[in-house]
Amino acid sequence: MVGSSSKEPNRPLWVLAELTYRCPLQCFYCSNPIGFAQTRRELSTTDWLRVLREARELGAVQLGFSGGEPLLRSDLEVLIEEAARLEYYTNLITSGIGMNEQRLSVLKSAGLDHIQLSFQASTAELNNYIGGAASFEHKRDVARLIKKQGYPMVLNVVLHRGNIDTVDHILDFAEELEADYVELANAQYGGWARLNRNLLLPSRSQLDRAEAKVATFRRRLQSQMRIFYVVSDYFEGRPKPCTAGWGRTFMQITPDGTALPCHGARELPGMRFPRVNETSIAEIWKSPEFNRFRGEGWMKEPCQTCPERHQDFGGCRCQAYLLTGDPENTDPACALSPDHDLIQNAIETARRTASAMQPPKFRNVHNSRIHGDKLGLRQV
Amino acid sequence: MTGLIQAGDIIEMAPHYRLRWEDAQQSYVLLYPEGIVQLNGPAAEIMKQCTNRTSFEQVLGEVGDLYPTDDVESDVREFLEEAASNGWIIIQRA
Ligand code: SF4
Ligand code: SF4
Repeated sequence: MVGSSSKEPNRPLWVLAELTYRCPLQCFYCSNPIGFAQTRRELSTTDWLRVLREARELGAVQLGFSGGEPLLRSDLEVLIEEAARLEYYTNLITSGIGMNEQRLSVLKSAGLDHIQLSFQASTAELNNYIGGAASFEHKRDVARLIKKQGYPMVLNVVLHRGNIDTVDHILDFAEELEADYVELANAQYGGWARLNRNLLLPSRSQLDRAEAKVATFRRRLQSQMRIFYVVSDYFEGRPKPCTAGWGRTFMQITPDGTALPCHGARELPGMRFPRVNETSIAEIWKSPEFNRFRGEGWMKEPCQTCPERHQDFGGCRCQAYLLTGDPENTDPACALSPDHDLIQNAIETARRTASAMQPPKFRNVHNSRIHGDKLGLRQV
Repeated sequence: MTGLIQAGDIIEMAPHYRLRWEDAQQSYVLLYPEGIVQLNGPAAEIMKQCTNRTSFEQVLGEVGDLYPTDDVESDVREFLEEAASNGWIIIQRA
């Protein structure tokens, strides 16, 4: 009798507002499109305010402000104030650069509910190397201030070959900072992570060791801290239920106002996603682009008749396209996919080249211009 | 703590959780960092009781009046234990 209902919501419950692609850091696994530097003008404050109202009318409740670095927008306080007035649950997803005590308290009075602070690693040396800037001490100070002001804090670290061996240290560090949640997310190989995949993919044994360390830590955990460990689809033999299903509950709005059903959708061929400055959120939600992979009608075998399809929705369309060339294919991360060898070969290639120290392609404007035409952000 | 509920335990919704009626969904939802849970009628009634410090006996009293079934005690207990292990509520031993 008692429990949570599983009624299909089919409305954008989650809205991710990417306020800007500008960012002081240059993480080489960044999920932003490789061609971000070609992006058009950022949406105006007025546009964002209207978007927040329209999405809320459709039933959106969870709102994330991210980027790039959302603190670079000087209207962030105004947007959060309006979001709080509309009764969203507001999340700020930040690297911490640009935050200080004063701004934290202004955001608090504007009604900000929660902060997700990212670290690149739990030591200064590694953190600063991966992020391409000396940010560690500042981040640590910001984490303390966040807690001091009574916000709930998620500490987020993207895991990859370069930091996954330190996962126990990361957990100790998170506990010491009194994080309410720590999210250890294995890199997803879209955006910049795809470009740097050979450098980022861990080995199977690294992954197993890390998972064992997380399990040990969980057993002895005394505090209320909760750990979200996000597995790597490359090693699971099962795909991720990408954004809980295309066009089911999630909408992402990019800095120039393009509305997307998932992070990488912009890279899909032959699709021009609607823009919030031309089309209302309600129309966007019903648009042909948002219908493209909704439900199960588009699926091919093996997904079409697989019992798992209601749980994983056949995986990620963008990964299917990036790796197999056809977005209707089964996500190759699935062991049942006829293209699964692409994943296994990628792991093998990364393992073989692991010792041949190539420099990473950091996420910055220069690299975006060089690599963007080939791989990212087709439509500008 | 999580685990089995005993007589006299103090129950309270975890800080940073919000319980709210959503018109668009015609239901109560529980909101927390990066999460939404849509609650059915009985679940919402139980969580409503937990928004202020309460006890198992009090929750059961209120919810039992609304849903006077034979299983109500075990249903409420089961839900609260599940809610505690999800981190929605905090149980303190008196
Ligand atoms: S992943 Fe790194 S580079 Fe990308 S937006 Fe976040 S902090 Fe900036
Ligand atoms: S075949 Fe398709 S539906 Fe079945 S597990 Fe693989 S990706 Fe999921």
